[in-house]
Amino acid sequence: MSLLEVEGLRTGYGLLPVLQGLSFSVEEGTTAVLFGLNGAGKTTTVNAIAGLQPVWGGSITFDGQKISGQPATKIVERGVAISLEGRHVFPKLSVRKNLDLGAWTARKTAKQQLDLVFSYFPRLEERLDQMAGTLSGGEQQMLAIGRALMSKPRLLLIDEGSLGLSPKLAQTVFEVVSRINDDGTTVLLVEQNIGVLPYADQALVMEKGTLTFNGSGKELGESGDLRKTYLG
Amino acid sequence: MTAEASLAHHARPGTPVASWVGRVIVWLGLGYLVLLLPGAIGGEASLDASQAAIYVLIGLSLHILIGYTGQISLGHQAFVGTGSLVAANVVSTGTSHAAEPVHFGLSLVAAAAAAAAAAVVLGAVALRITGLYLALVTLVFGSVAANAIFSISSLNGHEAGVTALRPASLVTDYRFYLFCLLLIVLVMYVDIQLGKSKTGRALAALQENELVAQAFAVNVMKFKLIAFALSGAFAGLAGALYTYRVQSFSDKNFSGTPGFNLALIFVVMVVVGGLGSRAGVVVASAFFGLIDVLLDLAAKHTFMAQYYSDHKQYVSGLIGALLLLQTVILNPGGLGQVVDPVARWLRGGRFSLHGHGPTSGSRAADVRA
Repeated sequence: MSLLEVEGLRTGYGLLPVLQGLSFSVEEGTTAVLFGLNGAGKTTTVNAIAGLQPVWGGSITFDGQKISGQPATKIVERGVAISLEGRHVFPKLSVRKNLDLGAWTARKTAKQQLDLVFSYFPRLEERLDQMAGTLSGGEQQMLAIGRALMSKPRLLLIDEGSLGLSPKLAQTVFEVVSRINDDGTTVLLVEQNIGVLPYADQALVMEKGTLTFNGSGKELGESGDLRKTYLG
Repeated sequence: MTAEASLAHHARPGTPVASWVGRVIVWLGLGYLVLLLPGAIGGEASLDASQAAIYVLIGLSLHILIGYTGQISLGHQAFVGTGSLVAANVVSTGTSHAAEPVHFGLSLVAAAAAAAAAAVVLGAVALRITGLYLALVTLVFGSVAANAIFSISSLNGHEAGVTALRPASLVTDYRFYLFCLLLIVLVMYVDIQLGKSKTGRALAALQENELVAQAFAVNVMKFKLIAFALSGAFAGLAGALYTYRVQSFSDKNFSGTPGFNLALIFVVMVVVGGLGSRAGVVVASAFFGLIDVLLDLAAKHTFMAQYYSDHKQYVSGLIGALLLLQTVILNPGGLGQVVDPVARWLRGGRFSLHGHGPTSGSRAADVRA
């Protein structure tokens, strides 16, 4: 049984449908990457999994339990955390308070997770009492991922983790994500940066709300046409 | 080093000793101004100071909604009015005897509870709306409450007002003023503890970004309702004091144009004080509570005396509007930008207009955000 199973997912905004029967699954312990052009429905997909986007139809199952239709608060408790597109750190709160809010549902393991987050992102420990809004773009991205890790998730969703970062910094983020995955957390990344491909156990490509490719990262890398069409 | 040299060394301007002497002098000055001056002046001064204290309570209560959660309320006078109405009806015996302390205490609790309940009702309606729509809903709520509840004849003393005498221990205006200060201390204590609590962290997250707060399992609805309830309770308490200040309740203070003006002034004083700045809100609220008295004093000795007397009802509103414009355009952090560094220095911190240190900004939020 897969850790995450999305079956015939339909959702949208107002009367406008975005996802029209999306189906895929992610195995536990893997890193899956969701590629696609702008407007393909990638963010809508991860937001729906996290409970931030109402589901119109179909189902989302996490660890054998249906989570579609449940509020975001319950889904976090079940072990799904998201680092949203655009980072969305709380700019006027300190790094410490941002991380603390990430552990809202996991107070008992907060200390342990904080140490773990510092091991991935030592820079955050140096900036602990700094207001999040004054961090650099890369540091804010670290904070967004670190904050999501504070709830000790089994599935970590990262939406556009490399957006706006220099190629070198993006590479650093991918390497840390790979370490997070090695430590046992399943990761679903939304990306447009092809640099993540070597780290992808599973690659998914979306176009206009549907899946057009589902295979290994290596297969996508070798598939010249697909790569050219969707990844440039 | 000799004793004189040591003393000279420690007394150098900017040294900790000199700073602490400065702080003690300012604390003593503030203590005199707030605690003793109204009593020393005599006459109406304690009543005027009580009004400022009540406005401070109202400012702090509204600040919980606007400053902590970003929920604007243009109907706050309804909560203050509810507290005022309930306190008057609980304590009123129809006689000219002073209130029993137990009845007085009960009236305060009942006022806070009733206003909190009214605020939760409004909060439940307003849970899913923000911005302009929320402002409209609260405006309508305030207006409907004023016209429907406050005008119930049996509750408003058949339009003649409800007498609500203070207990014997608070019969002098100065003692009543000190009681108002005591309640401010109580409310501020709760407010500060709230900021440090889990609820405070949730409210801070809500204010910054509801969606993100929700993504980390913060129950947006629950904490918004808590904010409305607390805000309502404090406003109700202020409403009870509003009644006891003049020892009667009149529905006319909270309905029609006076009620609407109050609602606007309450919002203006919080914005001018600075969202996120408790100290700024306290200073701005006290100023708006005293504005008529201060203008009276200022105009009395100038050639504007007659003009002011003829247009009195518009002048304070005009000043409020100008201060609001000044805040929104030039000083988006409000008075808090100036008051917070002073308050921080008074608590023993370093005086800096640029926040706690090089990496942090003022807590006062940009009202335009």
